[in-house]
Amino acid sequence: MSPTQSRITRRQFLAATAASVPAAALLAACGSGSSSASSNGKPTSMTFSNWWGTQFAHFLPEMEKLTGIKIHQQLYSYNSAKFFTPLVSGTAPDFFLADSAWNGTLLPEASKYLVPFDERLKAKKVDMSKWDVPPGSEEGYGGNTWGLSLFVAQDVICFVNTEMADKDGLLKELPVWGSPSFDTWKWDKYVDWLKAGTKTMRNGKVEQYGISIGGAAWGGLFSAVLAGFGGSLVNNEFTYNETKSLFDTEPVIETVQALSDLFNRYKVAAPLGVETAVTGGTFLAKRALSATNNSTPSAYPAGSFPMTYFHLPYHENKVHCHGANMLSVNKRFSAADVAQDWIITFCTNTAVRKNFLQVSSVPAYDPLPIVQASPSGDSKTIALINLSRIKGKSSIPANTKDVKAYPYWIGGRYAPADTLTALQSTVQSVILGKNTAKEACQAAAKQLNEKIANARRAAQ
Amino acid sequence: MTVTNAAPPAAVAVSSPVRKTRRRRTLRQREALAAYLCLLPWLIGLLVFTAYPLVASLYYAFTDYSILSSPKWAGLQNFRQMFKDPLFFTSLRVTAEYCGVVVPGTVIIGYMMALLLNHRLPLLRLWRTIYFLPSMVPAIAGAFLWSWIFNSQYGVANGLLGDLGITGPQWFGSETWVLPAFMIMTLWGAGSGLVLYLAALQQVPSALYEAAQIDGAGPLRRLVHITLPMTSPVILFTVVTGIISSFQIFTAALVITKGGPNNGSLFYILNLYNSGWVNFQEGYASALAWVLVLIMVALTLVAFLIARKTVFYNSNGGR
Repeated sequence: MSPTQSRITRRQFLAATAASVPAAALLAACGSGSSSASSNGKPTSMTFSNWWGTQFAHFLPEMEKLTGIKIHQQLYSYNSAKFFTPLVSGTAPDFFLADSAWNGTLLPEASKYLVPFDERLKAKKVDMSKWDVPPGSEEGYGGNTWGLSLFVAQDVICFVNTEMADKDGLLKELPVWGSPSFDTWKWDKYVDWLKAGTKTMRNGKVEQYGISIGGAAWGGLFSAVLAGFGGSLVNNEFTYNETKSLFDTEPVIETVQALSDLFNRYKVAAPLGVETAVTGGTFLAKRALSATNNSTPSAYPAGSFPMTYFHLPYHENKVHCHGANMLSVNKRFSAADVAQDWIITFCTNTAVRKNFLQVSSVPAYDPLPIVQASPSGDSKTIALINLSRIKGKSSIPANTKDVKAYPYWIGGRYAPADTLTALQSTVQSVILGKNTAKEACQAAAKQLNEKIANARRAAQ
Repeated sequence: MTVTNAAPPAAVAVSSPVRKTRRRRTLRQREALAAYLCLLPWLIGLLVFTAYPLVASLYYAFTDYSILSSPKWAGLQNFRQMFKDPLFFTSLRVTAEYCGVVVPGTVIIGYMMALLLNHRLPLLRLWRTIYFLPSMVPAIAGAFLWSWIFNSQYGVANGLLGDLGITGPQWFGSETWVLPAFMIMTLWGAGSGLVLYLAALQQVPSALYEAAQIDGAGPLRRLVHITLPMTSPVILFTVVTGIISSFQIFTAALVITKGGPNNGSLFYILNLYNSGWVNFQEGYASALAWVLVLIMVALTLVAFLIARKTVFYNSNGGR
C-alpha cells in the first residue's frame, strides 16, 4: 500500500460525515429530559407546563422550600394543540396546567392520560368541604377527580375606567362592592348606564363607547348572559354527554338578541372589527367607558389606569361560573404520588394561597379567610365580588340565593369548538343584519345537531 | 511446422480488459454509495417529515380520528360529511373568490411594475427596493399593520376617505368588505414577482424590438407580440405558484378576523385548521387536506392546458 492510500480521501471523509449526522440525530432523539431522582427514589425535580408566563415564578421558590423539589417550567402560549399533542405523543411533562375549556375533550379520555386524585386526597386528609366547589364537579368524570382547581372560577364582571366615569357623572350610581346597590342591577338598568356613557359627536362619529366587547370576551360573556336567562347551549352540559344542541331554544335566541342590540339598537359597543387593531381594545385605549372580562386582576396590565368593578348584571337570575384551570398529573410519570402531593400543597398551603391571591386570582381552596385577611386593593375587591354569589364562601350570604351555575366550557364533549363558532357567527350575522336572531339560531342548531350526531357516532 | 507459444502477449491482452471493467464497476458503486450517504440526511428528513405524514394523512382521511383516541376506519364518511357541511362550501367559495382576484391582480401589477422598472431611471435601485419591500414584511406584522389601516373607526383608510367626504366601509367588520380588504392586503405585496419578471424582461433579445420598430410596430404591439410571448414561461410559473399560495392563505385571517364576521373570511385552510386543531377532528381535517390537493392538481392541469396555446418557449425554434 502506498503512503497516499493510508490517508482518508475527501470522498470517504464526506461519506463518513453524512452517515454520522443522521446517526447523531437519532441518538439525540432517543434521550429525553425529565425529572431527576435522589438516592431514595423521590424526585428532586419535576417538569411542569403552563401558559401563565411569569406568574408561577412568584410561587415556585416558596414551593421549593416547602417540598424540596425544584420545578422546571415548560412555558407555551395558550393553545389547546400545544397541550394535547405532547400528551398524546407521550412527551408531556410530569404534571401540567389544563384549562376547563378543554374539559369536554380531555376528561372523557382522562383515564388514559391522567392520574385520579381521589385516593391521594383521602390519604392526605384534605378537608373537601373547603373547596369553593367540589373538585369532582369541576374536574370530574366517571366518578373520579382528574385534577385540582387552582382558583375560583372567574365570573364575568364589568371593569370601569374610574376617571372617565367620574368625569361623566356616572360613577356614584354604580353597584360596586360595598355600595348599597351592590349586585342589584338588572340588564335594562345596565344598558341605560351604557347609553349614558356613550358619546356621539354631531357628525355621527362616536367619541366614546359605553362598552368594549371583543376577542376572547365573546364566549364567556355569551355564556353568562345565557345562564342569566336560565338557558344552556347543550343538554347534559355538566356530564359531557350531550345528545342535542339547545341553540334554537328561547334563552339562546334572547341572548343573541340582547348582545346584538348592544351594537345595533343601542349603539353602545364599537362595531365589529374595531377592537382588533387596538391593543387591549377600545377600553385600554380609553375610547370605551367599560369592558367585561374574567374576574381576575391580571385581566388588564397592572397600572393601566384606575378602575372600579361590579358584577355583570343579569336578566332573570344571578349566575356563577364553574370551571377553572386545573393541575393534573401525567399518568406516565413514575412518581405520580409525589406530583399529586406537590399539587395538593400548592392548592392548600396558606402562604402560597395568600401570594396567589395577590398575583393571580382567588384560590379555590378555602378562599374567604384568605381574601378577608388580604390588604385592601383591586385584588381583594375583585376576589370579594367573585365570591359574592357562592354559597358558603360569600361574605354576603343573602346574595347567594337562587344563583344558577353555568360551565366555563362551551358546549360539551362532541361539538365544543363548533358551538363556540356558532355563537360568534350567529351574533355577528344579526349585528350585520343578515338574519333575525331566531333564524340564525335555528340554522345554527340544525348544523350543530348534525355535528353532535356525527361525533357521537364516531366516538362509539 | 513449428508451433510457437505466443500466449503471453495474447494472455495479457485477454486478461487486462476484464480487470479494468471490474475496477470501473467497483468505482461506480463506491461513488454511488458515497452519493447516497451524502444524501442520507435529506432522505431521512424527506421520509420522516414529508412522506410519512403524507401517507398517514391519506389513511386518516378515511378514519374517525380525534386526538385523544385511536383512528377508527370510517370509509368515505368524512367525505360524505364534507359535502353536507355548509362551512366547507363557504370556505371554498371565499377562497375561490379571493384567488380569482388576487392571482391575476398580482401578476398584472407585478408585471406592470417590472415594465416600468426595466428602464434606465434615476435612483432605479431605490425604486426596485421600494416596490419589492412589501413582499418581505412577515405575515403577522402585515396582518397587524393592515388591521390598523382598515380599522373602521380609527384607521388611516377611513380617515383619508373621510377627508374626501366619503364614509368608509367597516372593512374587516363587514361581511361584504372583509374579502376585498384581504385582497388589497395581498395586492400590496404584488412586488414579490418583480424580481422574476425583471429577469425575464432583461432576457428578451433587443434585436426583436429593433426589428419590430423598423417594421413600424408601436409600443403596444411590441408589448403584445414580443414582450408578453417572450416572458410567458415566467408568467405561467407565477400564475401556478400564485394559485397554490392564494389557496393557502391562513395567517392573516387567523390573526385579524378568525374567519368572521359571519364566516365572511373563512378561508379553506382556516376551516381545515379549525377542524383539525380546534375541533380535534383529525380525520375530517385530513379529508379536507386531500380534497385541497385534488383541487390544486386540477387547477394546475388547467393552467398547463391553457399554457399549451399561450406560452412560448424560446429554445431551438420555440414550442
